[in-house]
Amino acid sequence: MSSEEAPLQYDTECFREDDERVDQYIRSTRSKLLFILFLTIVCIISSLYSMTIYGDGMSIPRLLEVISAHISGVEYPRLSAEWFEDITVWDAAMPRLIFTVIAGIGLAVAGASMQSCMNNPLADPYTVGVSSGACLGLSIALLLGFSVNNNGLGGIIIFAFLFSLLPLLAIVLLSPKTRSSPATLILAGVALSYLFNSMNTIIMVAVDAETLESIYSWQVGTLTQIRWDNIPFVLFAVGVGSAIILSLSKRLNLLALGDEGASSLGIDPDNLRLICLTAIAFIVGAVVGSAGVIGFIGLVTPHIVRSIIGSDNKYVLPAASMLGITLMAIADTACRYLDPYDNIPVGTAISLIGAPIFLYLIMRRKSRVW
Amino acid sequence: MSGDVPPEETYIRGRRIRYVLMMALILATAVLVVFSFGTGSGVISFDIAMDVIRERMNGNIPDRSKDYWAWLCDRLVYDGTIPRALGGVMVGAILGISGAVMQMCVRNPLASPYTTGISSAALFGVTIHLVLGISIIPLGNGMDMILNAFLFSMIPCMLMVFLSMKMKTTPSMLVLIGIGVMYIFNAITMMLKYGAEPEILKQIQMWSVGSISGITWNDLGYLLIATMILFVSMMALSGRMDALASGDRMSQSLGVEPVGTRLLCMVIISACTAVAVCFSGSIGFVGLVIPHISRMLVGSRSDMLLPCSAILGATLLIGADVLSRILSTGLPVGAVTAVIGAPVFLYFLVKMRTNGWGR
Amino acid sequence: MNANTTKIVAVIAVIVVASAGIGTFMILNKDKGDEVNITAALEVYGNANNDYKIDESDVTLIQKIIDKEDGYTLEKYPLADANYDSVVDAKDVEQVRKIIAGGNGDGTQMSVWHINHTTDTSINQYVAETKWPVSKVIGNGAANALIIYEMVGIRDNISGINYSSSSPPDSIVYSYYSKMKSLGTSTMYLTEGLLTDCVKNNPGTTAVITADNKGYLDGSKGVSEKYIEETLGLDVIRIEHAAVDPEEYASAILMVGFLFNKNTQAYEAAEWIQDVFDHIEEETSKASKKVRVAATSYYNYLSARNSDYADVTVAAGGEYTLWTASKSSIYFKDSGSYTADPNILKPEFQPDVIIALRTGAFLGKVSEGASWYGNESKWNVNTMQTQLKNFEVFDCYGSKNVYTVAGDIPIVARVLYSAAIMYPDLISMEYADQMHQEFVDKFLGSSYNVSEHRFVLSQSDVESMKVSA
Repeated sequence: MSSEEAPLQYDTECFREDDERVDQYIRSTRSKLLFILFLTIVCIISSLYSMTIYGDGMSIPRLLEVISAHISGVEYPRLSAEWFEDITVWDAAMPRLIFTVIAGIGLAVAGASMQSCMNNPLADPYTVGVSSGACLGLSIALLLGFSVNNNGLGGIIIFAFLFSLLPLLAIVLLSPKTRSSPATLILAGVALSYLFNSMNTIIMVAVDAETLESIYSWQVGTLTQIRWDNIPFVLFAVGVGSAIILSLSKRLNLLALGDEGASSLGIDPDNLRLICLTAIAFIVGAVVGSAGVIGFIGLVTPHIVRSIIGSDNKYVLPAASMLGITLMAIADTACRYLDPYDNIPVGTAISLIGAPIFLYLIMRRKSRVW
Repeated sequence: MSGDVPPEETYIRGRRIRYVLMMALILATAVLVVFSFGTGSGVISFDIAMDVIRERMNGNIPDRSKDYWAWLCDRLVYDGTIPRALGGVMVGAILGISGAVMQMCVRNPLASPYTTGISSAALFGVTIHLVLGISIIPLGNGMDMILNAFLFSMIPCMLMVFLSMKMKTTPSMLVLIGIGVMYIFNAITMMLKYGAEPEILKQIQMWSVGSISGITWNDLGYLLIATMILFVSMMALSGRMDALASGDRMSQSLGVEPVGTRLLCMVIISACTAVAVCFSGSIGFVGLVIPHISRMLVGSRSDMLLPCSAILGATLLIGADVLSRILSTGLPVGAVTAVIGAPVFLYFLVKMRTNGWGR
Repeated sequence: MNANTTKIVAVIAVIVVASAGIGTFMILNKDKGDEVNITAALEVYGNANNDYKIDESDVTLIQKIIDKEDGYTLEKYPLADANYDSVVDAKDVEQVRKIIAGGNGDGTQMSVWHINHTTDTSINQYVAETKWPVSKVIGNGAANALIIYEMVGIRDNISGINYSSSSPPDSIVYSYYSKMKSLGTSTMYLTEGLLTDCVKNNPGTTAVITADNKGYLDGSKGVSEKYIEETLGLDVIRIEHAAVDPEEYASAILMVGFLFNKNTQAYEAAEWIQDVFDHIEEETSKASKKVRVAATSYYNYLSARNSDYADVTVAAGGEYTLWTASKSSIYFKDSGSYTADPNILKPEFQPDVIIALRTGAFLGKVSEGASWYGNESKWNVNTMQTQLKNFEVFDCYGSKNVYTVAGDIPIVARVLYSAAIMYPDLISMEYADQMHQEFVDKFLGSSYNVSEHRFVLSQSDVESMKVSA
C-alpha cells in the first residue's frame, strides 16, 4: 500500500539526515584534529628554527646532528669548535627551547581556562593581575638575597608562585554568582596590578640602584637567563597544572551556561573554579618566576583558535597550546634576530603584539556583549 | 502616630546633616594642611613653619647672607611644604571628583580616573624624556617632561572621542579601550626601561607610583585652573550625570543624550586628571575608593557626592602625605595610598559580590 | 823592606779595599731591596706570611707549621694552606715551590687558590680555584677595571670586555679598549652567545675577571657566574676594582699581577699608589682641623658613608659628615617623586665642602675662560648651572664651597684633587696635577697631557661659565 511505503521513505530520509549529521560531526571533529595537527607541525618547525639563530647560526640538519650526538654521549675536546657548538646548542639553546614549549603550553592553557572559569573573554593571567603578584614575590626573594649563584633559584621561583596566589585569592573573592560585565573583572585586575606594583615600588625604593636593575631584569619577560636549572620546577608546575585543567576541560565547557545551568548538570561551579584557578596560579607562578612577565599569550591564542574551531575546550586547549608555543618561538626568534645582544625582552615583544590585538578584540565584538 | 516625622523634615534634616559633615571634613583637611606645613625636613617643625608664615605676612624675606638658617627655614616652608600641601589638596580634589564622575558615567564601581589610560600615557611621555631625552615641545626649562606627559596623556582621550564617533560605544567598551591603550603604552615603556641606567630606572619607577613632593608655586597655577574647571563644569552637569547613572534608555527618556554627555564628561575629566598626573605622577586608589566612601556618607546625588568626593580626596591625599613623611623617608605618597586604599578596595569588592554587581 | 813583603802588603791592601767596597755595595743594595715597601697582602693561598709575594720565606713558615713549632698554626696563618685542603703538609710546600718556579714547568696550567671579594654582605669573600698562570681573560667591568689592566700591563691578555653603549671606554684614555666589541649590554652582564664566540675566537682564554659587586654576573640578565664556571669551565676572578683604601687597592693590583705573572709591574704600581696615599695622609694630618666634607655623584642627593664616593673624600683626609644609610644615596631635594631625608640639613650634618664627582665629562678641552665641553648632551652649560643651583640649600654653597671633579679619572687622581680642594695649603693643585701626570705616564698605556684639560671646577668657575660661541 502506498501509505505504507510513504512512512518508510520518510523514515529513511530521517535516518539519512541523521547520517548526514553524524558524518558532519565526524568530519568536523576530523577537521579540528587536522587543524591541531597542522598547528603542531608549524610549532615544531618554528621551534627548531628558533634554535638555529645562535652565534654564527647553524642549519636544521646540523642542529639535529648535534643534538643526537649529545644524547648518544659523544664528548668533544674542551674548547674545540664542536665543543662550542655542543655547549651552545645543549646548554643555552635547548633549555631555552624547552622552556618556550612549556611556557607556551602553560600560558595558553591558563588563559583559555581562565576565560571559561570567569566567563570573561578578556581574562588572562596578565590582565587579572596575577603576574604583578608574581613580580612582588620576585622582588621579595631577591631582596632576601636569593640568587642563582648561591643556588637560590628554587627559592626565587617558589616566592613568585606563592605571591601569585594573592591576586587570585582576591579574584576568587570576586567570583561572580551572576553573569556580569567582563569589564568589571578587568578593572579589578588593573586595581590589583596597581596595588602589587606599589608594594613592589616600596621594596625597590629600599634597595640600591644595582639591586634595582637586577630586580627589574628578573621581572621583565626575557628568556636570556633560562638554563637547565630552571626547567625541572617549571616542567613540574606546568605539567601538573595543565594536566589538571585538561582533565577538567569538558566540565569547563559547562561553565558557559552560567552557575545555575552548570550546577543543574551536576557540577559544583565554585569548586571547579577554585581548582582551576589554583592550577592556573601554579602554572603562572612558575613561568613568571623563571622568565618574568609574559602576557597576552593566554588572551590571544584561545581567541584565534576559537574563531576557527569553535569553543569546545577539548579542542581549544590543545590547539591554543600549540599556537602558544609557536607564538613564543616566533617572538623569541625575532627578538634574537633583531638584536644579537639579546637585548629585546620577549615579554615586551609579545605585549607589543598582544595589546593591539586586545584593542581589536574589544572593538570587534558586538557592543551588547560588554 | 508618634514618631512619625513628616518626610520634608527628614529630607531637610538629612541635607543639613550632610552639610555639617562636609564642613567638618573641610575643617579636618584645613587642619591637616596646616599641620603638614611643619613636616618634611628634620630642620623644620610646626613652630618654625608658623614663624616663617608670620614673617612672610609681615613682609620680611630673610636674606641668606645675613642669616642662613632663617633663609633655609623660609625656603623649606615657603617654597617647599606650603606649595606641596596646597598642591596636594588640589590633586586630591581632582582625583576625587574625577573618580566619582567616572564611576557614574561608566556605571562601573571599579572605574578610576586612570582607567582611560591617562597615567600610562603620561608615564610613557616621562620615560621617553628621561631615557631618550626627547621633548615633544622643547621649552628648555623643567617643564619639558611635564609637557611630554600631558601631550601623551591626551592620546587615550582623543582615541575615545574618535572611536565614539565611528561606532557605538557602550560604557564598558570605553573602559576596555582605555585599558587596551594602557597596555600598549605599558609595553612600549617596558621596552624603553629595559636598557635604561639604574638611576633613571629608579626615577621612572618612582614617578609611576606618584608623589606630591615636587610641586612648586609655578605648578599651583595650572592645578588651580584645572580644579576650578573640573569643579564648575561637573557641578553644572551634575543633573545630567544623575540621569546617566540610571541607564542609557532612562536618561534618554529624561531628555539627556547619553553618549554625548558621557563623552563630554570623560574628556573634561581626562584633561584635568592629566594635569594632575603631570605634576604628581599616578597616585592610585584615591579616585577608586573615595567615591564609595562619599557615597556612604552623603548618598548618591551628585550635587552632594561631587563636593564630598573632592574634599575627601584632598583629605586622604594630605593625610597620606603626612603619614609618609612621618613614617620614613623616600616613601612616595602613592605607595601609602595604595597600602591604605587596598584593604578598603577589597572590602568594597567583597561587599559588591554579595550585592551583585555589574550591569 | 824587601820586594816580597811589599808585594804581600799590596795584595792584602787590595783585598781589604775590595772587600770593603763589596761589603759597602752589598749593604747599600740590601737597603735598596728593603725599600720595596708594600704593606698590602697578596691574597693567594701559599702566601703564608701575608706579605706582598710568594717566596721562600713562605716555605719556611709552612715548614714551621708542619713541624708544629710554637705559635705556628694554621689558624694564625690561614694562607699557609697552599692547596686549600684544610691540612698543612708537604703538599703545600710542593705547591708553593711550584708557584715560585712559575708553574708546572711544562706549559700546562696548575691550580691556585685565591680569595674572591664580593659586596654580597652575607658572603663578603670566598675562595676560588683558578688555573694559573692566566694567559687570556675576558674583562668584565668598567673603567676602573681597565685602569688596573693598564697598571699591570696585561692589555694583550684581554680577549674581550663589555660595556654599555651609553658609556663606552673613553676613546682617548682607553683607545685600545674602545675598539673592542662589547660582549654584553652593560658592564654588569655578559651575553651568552657573544661570550662563547669570544672564547672560541681567542683560544687560551681560561678565565673571566670581574668586579666584586654582587650584581655582576648574577644571572638576572645574561650568564651567571655559576654558568660560566660549571658549564663553560672558565674560572671567575673577582677583584675590588674600585677600592679606595690604598691597601685594598694594592691588594687587587697584586692579585692581578700574580695571576698573570706580571709581578714586577704590579709591585711598582702598588708601591707607587701606596706612596702617594701615604704622602696625602701625612700632609693632611698636619691640618689643625679636619675638613668636614660630603660627596655626591648627582645633583639632588649626597652619597652616604658606605659609598665609594665617600671613600674618596675620606682617603683624601676629610671627615665625612653623613651617616651610613641602607642605600648609598641620601636625598636633600624633593624632586618629582623623591622625598628628601629629614635629617640631612641639620647643623650637625652640614659639610664645609661638597665635592661632586661627575662622570661623563672626561677630558673636555677648555679654551681660555670660556666653557667646559666634553660629552655635550650631558654637560651643556645650562644644565651644569641649573644643577649646581640645587646645592643652595647647603650652607657651604653660600661660601662657594661646592666643587665639581671629573669622575672618570683614575681613583688616585680623584683622591688627589679632593685633597687639594680640601687642604689647599698642604696639598697643592700643582702637586695633584703632577702626580696625575706621573700616573698617566707610568701606568696608562695611552698618554694624555693633564695640563691640556681641566678636571676640577670650583663653584665660581661653573657660575661664570658662558656658552661657547
